Amino acid sequence: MNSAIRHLAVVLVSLFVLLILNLSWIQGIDANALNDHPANAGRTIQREYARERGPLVSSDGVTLAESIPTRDDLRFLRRYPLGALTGQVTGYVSVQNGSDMAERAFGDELLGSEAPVTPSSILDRLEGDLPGDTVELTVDTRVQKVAADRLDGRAGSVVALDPRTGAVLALYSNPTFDPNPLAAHDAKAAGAAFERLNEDPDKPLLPRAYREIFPPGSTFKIITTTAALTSGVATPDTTFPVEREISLPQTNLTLSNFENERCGGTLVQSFTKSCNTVFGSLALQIGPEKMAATASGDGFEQPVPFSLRAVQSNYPDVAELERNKPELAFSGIGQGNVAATPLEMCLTAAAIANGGVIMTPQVGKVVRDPKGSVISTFAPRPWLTATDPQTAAAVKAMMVSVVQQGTGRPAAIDGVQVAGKSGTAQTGRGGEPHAWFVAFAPAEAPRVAVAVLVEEGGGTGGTVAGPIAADVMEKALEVSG
Amino acid sequence: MSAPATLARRNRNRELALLVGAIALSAAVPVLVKAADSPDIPSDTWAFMALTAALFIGLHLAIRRFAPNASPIFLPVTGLLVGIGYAMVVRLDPAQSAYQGMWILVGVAAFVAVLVLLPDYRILDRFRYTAGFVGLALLLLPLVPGIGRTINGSRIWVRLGPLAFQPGEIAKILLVIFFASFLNERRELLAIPTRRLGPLGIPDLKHFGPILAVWGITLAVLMFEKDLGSSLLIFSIFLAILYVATSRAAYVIVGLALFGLGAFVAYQIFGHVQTRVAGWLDPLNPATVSGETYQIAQSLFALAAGGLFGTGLGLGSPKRIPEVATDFVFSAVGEELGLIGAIGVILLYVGLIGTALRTALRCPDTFGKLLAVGFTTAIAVQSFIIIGGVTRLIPLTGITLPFISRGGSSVVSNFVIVGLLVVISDQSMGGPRGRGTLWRRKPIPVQALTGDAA
Repeated sequence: MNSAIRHLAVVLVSLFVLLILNLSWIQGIDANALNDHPANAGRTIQREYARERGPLVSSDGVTLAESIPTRDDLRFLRRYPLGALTGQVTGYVSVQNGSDMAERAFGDELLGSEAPVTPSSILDRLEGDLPGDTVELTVDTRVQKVAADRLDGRAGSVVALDPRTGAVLALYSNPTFDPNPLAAHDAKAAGAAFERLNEDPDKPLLPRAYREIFPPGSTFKIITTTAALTSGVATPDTTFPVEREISLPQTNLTLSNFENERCGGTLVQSFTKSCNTVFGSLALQIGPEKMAATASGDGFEQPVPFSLRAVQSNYPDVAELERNKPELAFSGIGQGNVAATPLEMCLTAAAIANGGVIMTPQVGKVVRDPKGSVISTFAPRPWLTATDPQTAAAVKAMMVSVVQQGTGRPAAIDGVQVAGKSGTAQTGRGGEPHAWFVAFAPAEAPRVAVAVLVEEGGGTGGTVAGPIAADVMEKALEVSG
Repeated sequence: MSAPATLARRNRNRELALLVGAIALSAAVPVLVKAADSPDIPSDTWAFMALTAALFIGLHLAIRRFAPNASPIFLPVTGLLVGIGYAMVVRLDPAQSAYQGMWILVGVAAFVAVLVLLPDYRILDRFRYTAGFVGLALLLLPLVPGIGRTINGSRIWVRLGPLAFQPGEIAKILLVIFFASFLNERRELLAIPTRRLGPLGIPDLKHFGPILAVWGITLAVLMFEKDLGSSLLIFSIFLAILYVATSRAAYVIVGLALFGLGAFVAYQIFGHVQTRVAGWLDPLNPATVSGETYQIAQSLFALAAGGLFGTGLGLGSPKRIPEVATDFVFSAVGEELGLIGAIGVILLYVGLIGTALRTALRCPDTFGKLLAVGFTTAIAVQSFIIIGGVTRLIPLTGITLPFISRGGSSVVSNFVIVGLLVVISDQSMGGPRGRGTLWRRKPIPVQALTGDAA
């Protein structure tokens, strides 16, 4: 009889071992999937709102998002003191509308769940009122404000970052939105605010600076030049014919210079004057593979490791360019099917500024616990190697020439050597071309890179976007000391 | 001083040492739960803590007096489970906490009454058919029109005046007594193999009568009371006792086949069984996750929210799970105490079950062994059914989690079960009993009642 009891013991204990294994699976391994399950949203929101969400702070110490205690069930109201100025950086968080941008990217940190578990943190939690962590962003509100003021309500984007670290200093686009109504506790009001913004034909919820793509026009010549130098197709001193237009293979299409001017000379002169004829023919000489590889090395056709979730920029694929030579020529001047986010064009300039290496763009700077001690910092990480230091130096010299004596003269700053490239891009929709300017400064030791886009700007990139780029860089250099 | 007396004292001192931990946790945890809601410590805190300590010490003294040789594990483990259970009621259903506290007191009284009034478990052998009939009657009592109540789809409640209870919880104890006694008497007969099938000795077909009868009864419970959990529990208890009594695996195989057949038929007939199986297979199906499988899905979400260390008592959202204070209490434990706490609770059950089975192994007579096996299986299978159900290891069948779920009948009957196990343990470890009982009767020789020793 005792051996039967032992058998029974084995069976019963096995049942409980199964319970423990199954429970370990659910609570240990499958837990994240269950927590993130769409059907589980109610629990997530309830948990998140039960705790005071930490603030978002700019690098110059301005509060960008904070939680104000309320008397209702949700306990804390999220407030965005700068409203629309930083709306496309902070994003929003709301029961009705979910979350986006920094509120989404740093959700875990703001809720404090990234903090290490220590005996004192457990006691703090038992006391109940410990808010989540503070996330300090790289964005500087003073630079952000210059960007917004200088765009002056026109549709467009400004991205400024430190090419050495990838830290984003300004990230602004028009039209923008004020996140405050989206975070309202009144479910109806918050839902209606979202509807209104979402259905607005100008798409204010869309941060154009990093989630919309535009033809980059002549700013793309930075990449064409890089490809020409690294492939050995040209050196800075290679001379090109001075002409008004070139005829394109396979068709009777022609590619002409801006305002049909005669343009050419050395590569440096052609870059300075932004001759379409030269860069169209260069692209044809360089060939599809090398052009596509260089574009991809600069971040085109690549998922962007940007925490606020940027869209990818487009460059035609090799097979398409093999088939369609005119497309290849147009791609050399950033037209045709080339389309980039302002963020991507800023990174293109930053690559030249940083000796060919593109740092991962980041808006997170440091996470602090409520007592102010640093929990984690967002260390700079290289993303791509766009080119070698020698080529970067050669392209930089051409970009300096653009601002000294070419299309980029309006972007000059007193006492600071600026390197830049203008772009005046046909939209393919008729209407005015987009005005672009990408630049960095000081050219000898760059601390800021910028991309400015004024959509359908009513002028050339140099005259419309150039001065904005200069003011944004000047402010950025001033605040970074 | 004699050797057994020394052993007894050592056992009781160990029990007291283990109790200190159980008292500390049981007294502190409900206070922590309340503290999570408001920073003020309620004024009756000290009274509550003192009462908790007094109850535990009282039980310890009762065992010292009336069952001095019993294993020192039973009381601390049971006490801790009940303490956790009370804390969960305070947490999940505070309006019912006084009521639950009262039922715990009744359970404690019942436990002491078993120790005091039952000088020898072998007396139970004499009440074989009484226990069988009363047990069966109680099991079927909810079917009586007028007093039976259907709650949450199962007709397992009886309401008499202001008192509502689940007679099945008491029937469980009586049926264990009946099964143990009945099978103990017939075990040799039932064990005789008349033919062989490979390694299995197959008893004569007529000896499958009892198993068919019990199967029929449990099927009736299933059909008419729609109580999957109880019917599975009772059948398992019977099967465990039958197996231990006869050592014939053939009975287990036939039993499992019969159970499979019953389950299949039930699945075909009852919509709610199909729902439970669907919820088991695919709880997060978008079509049902906010409907039929909402409860099990919320249970899984609660467990996931708890993760390894839990949200902390009072800091999770277990009330999102319907019926969390009764059937789903384990999910709340998993959410607020985490995997660590949930495994801790499971290990408490394993400790209790292990101690009870050791008691069965040591018990000198076969009736006592079968009795201990039956009670152990009752606690083990019931815990497994409900923990496995709410964690989606097996399809969900509603039943209380012993000692922890809110509910009077459950707490009282489980206290009685542990009381009976303590009596068996006392007699198994210390030889003749009687010294400690009220009547100071003469020890009953083992052979006089059972005729043999295992």
